[in-house]
Amino acid sequence: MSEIGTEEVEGLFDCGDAFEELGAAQPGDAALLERAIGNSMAAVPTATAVTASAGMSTASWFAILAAVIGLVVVIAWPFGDKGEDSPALESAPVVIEAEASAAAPDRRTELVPTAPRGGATDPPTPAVRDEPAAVAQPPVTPPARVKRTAAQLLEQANAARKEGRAARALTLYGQLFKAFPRSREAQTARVSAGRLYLERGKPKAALSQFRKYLSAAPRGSLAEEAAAGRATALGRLGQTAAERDAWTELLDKHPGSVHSARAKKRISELSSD
Amino acid sequence: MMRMLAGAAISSGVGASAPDPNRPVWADVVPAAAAGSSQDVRTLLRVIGPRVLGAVRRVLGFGPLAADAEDVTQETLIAVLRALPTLREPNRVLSFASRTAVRNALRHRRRGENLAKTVTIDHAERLSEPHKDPDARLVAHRRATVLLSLLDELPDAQSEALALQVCLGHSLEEVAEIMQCPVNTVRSRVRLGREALALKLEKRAGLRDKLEVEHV
Repeated sequence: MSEIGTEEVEGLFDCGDAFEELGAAQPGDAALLERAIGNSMAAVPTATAVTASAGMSTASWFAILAAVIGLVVVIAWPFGDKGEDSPALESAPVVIEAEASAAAPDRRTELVPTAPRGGATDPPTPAVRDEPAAVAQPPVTPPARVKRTAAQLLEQANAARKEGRAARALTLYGQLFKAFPRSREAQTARVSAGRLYLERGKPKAALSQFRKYLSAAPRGSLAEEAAAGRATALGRLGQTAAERDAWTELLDKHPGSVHSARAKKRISELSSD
Repeated sequence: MMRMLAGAAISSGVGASAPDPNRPVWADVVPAAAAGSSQDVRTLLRVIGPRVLGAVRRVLGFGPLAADAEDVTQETLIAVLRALPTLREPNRVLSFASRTAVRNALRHRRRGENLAKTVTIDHAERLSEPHKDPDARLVAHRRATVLLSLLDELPDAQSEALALQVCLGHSLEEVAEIMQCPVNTVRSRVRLGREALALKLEKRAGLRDKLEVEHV
């Protein structure tokens, strides 16, 4: 083992807090774990479950009977006595958090009573709806102009992108580019914006973003992604020679790229045209 | 550094007859869970689930494979459930869960090939979040990514031992307990693994470059 190798391998093990960051709890973990636990238990039936399926006790049968009766009552509820009160549903709407995710803080699943039909004697009908919680919120005063940092803008833009609000995300990316053009956040956002433009059928705008990223950070973390995006955008613009060159450059600079198979295929197709 | 296994669980001897004050409060559910009580199985999985998920994430790394953490966690929990009747003791359950999580995650990385070595947009965005020392953080993330990609190329026993020690932060003694082998065996695996990594680094200039700071 060479001396240089020894030094570098020691440096390799000095990963700071990287593994702590990786192992840290994240929003949505509770739901993720409940899914994993539920699926695991379904995949490996426990002895209790096996016993239950083989022959249930009288108490178990009573429990099932009670559950069935409860279900029938719930189903029959809307068709029951119109004069019956429903104190539980007359209270404030019950809000059930769909998922405690920082990425989508404003979406909730609400169990809300519908408006009374024909006066106070009508029982409310529960209805489940999935829509932005803002609908149930009191009117909001117009937001004051707040000066946001590059990190805040990027965070908001990314949240919008992950929620599928592409137009909003692009607006925020645009504000980030304008306000903090040389920031690390702006550079990172170029590739995200480029991808969004590609998805929205705007290859020219996408190409501009990918080129800006590659110009500013030719060896950056996302250079491979940006190079693939640039080649894709050129292809959609019909610039075949430039597209071929872009894929070739990607293969030269990132020989082990996950895009290499696609790059080789496109080069082959373009060469045979 | 956060330990995957509680020190108490590690230090409590298997088969100790006297009541152990350090015995985790959830330990009592293990026999019932092993006997097949659904409620106790669920309680047990809720205890070990977060630890398994954390271990899996540490080995899957920052790349696109991180999105598969749920699948690998589930795969690990299924393995734990299947092995539960033979494990019985809480610390053995934790050891088994820890080792299986690392092993499954390493196997998943190997199946993912190139995907395990790429940087995702989400990761780059994460790096852009405010931090007291963003450059040091970037270097640490790069080193972790390179280390994990090199672990993919080592023999299973070496990569497992190194992952348990470096990624999960266990001592050699803890790794020995988790891997159910003598400490000297673990020491030997770790040493051989480090030597193999040094040789690989020496041969590949590209990987050495990645250990240096690169601004996005």
